[in-house]
Amino acid sequence: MEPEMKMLQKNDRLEKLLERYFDGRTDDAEEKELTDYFLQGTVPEVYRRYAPLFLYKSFAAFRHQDMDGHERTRAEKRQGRFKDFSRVLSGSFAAAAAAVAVTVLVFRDAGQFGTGVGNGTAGIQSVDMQSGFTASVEGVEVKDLETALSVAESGLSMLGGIDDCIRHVSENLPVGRP
Amino acid sequence: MSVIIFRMEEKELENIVMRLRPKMRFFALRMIGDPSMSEDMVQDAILSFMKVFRSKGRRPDNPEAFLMKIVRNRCLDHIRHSSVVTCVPLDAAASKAGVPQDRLQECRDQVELVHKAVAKLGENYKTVFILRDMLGYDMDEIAHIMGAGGSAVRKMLSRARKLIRDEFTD
Repeated sequence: MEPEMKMLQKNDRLEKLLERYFDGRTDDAEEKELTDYFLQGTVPEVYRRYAPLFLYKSFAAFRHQDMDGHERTRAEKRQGRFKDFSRVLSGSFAAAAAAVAVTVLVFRDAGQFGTGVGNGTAGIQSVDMQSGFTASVEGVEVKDLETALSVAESGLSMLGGIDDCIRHVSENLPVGRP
Repeated sequence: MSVIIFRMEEKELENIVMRLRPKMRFFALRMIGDPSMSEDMVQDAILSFMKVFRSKGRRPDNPEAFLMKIVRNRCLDHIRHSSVVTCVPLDAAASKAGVPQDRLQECRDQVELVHKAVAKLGENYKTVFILRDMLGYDMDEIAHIMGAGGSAVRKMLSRARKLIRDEFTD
């Protein structure tokens, strides 16, 4: 495609995106595309008057520092999250399912479903399915179904957010890893 | 698999609050422009939030939106009772745009223009603009925080962006 044609198409695209932006209809990807256009400084003269708005978004947006030290905006985190969505889904369900499955195995055969009290604050670090039906989750001995559910719930809800969940599952859980 | 019922303990809520505190501070500061006052707003919002949780005995469906809503309401109360709204100095804003050094000052001047335009916006327009363009909330979340419909939020965002644009393109 000739360069002029490419430029025309790019300008058309820019005009459409700007129209959508000022109409409040752009999504994260479109706004990123607009911001990138303006930051690169190759925008036609007629559109340069809008540059301050997109520069502002880059300069002044709130950035959250992740555990790995990277700073990202919420939109950037959302876009990263979608790529791993299926992994997250299987990981988070695997974490909960693992704890419940172990307890069912333990107590189904032993015929016990008593009531016990777990401290409910431990995260799931390891689940041993090999050693004759014992379950120990970060020092909390899982004695009954209620404790297992409590620990599974706490483990997921203490993980602070979906990114932490992905990281936690992929790094620590030996069962159900995608 | 049976339905998992989440029981939120106070410690977990405190973790959520700690995680959200920078974001709440950011929002409050941009709404009212006074660092120490905005810190008070945030602290007040957290206390209200924990009070509601303790009295109801269950977590809100969306703790983050609930917290941001409280912060917003506190800020609006302050704005309505005080006629002074200062503009947050841009030196505090992180310059992470990857802009070449020789363009940096030009960019900062342009950004300053927008910054002042945002400070002049009406409270609802300012709220929507900050929540969307600076804090990155999506439209459903903003609707929840503001207690407004999706269509109304979109119109407010559109109006806010156009008002800002008109400030520096005339």
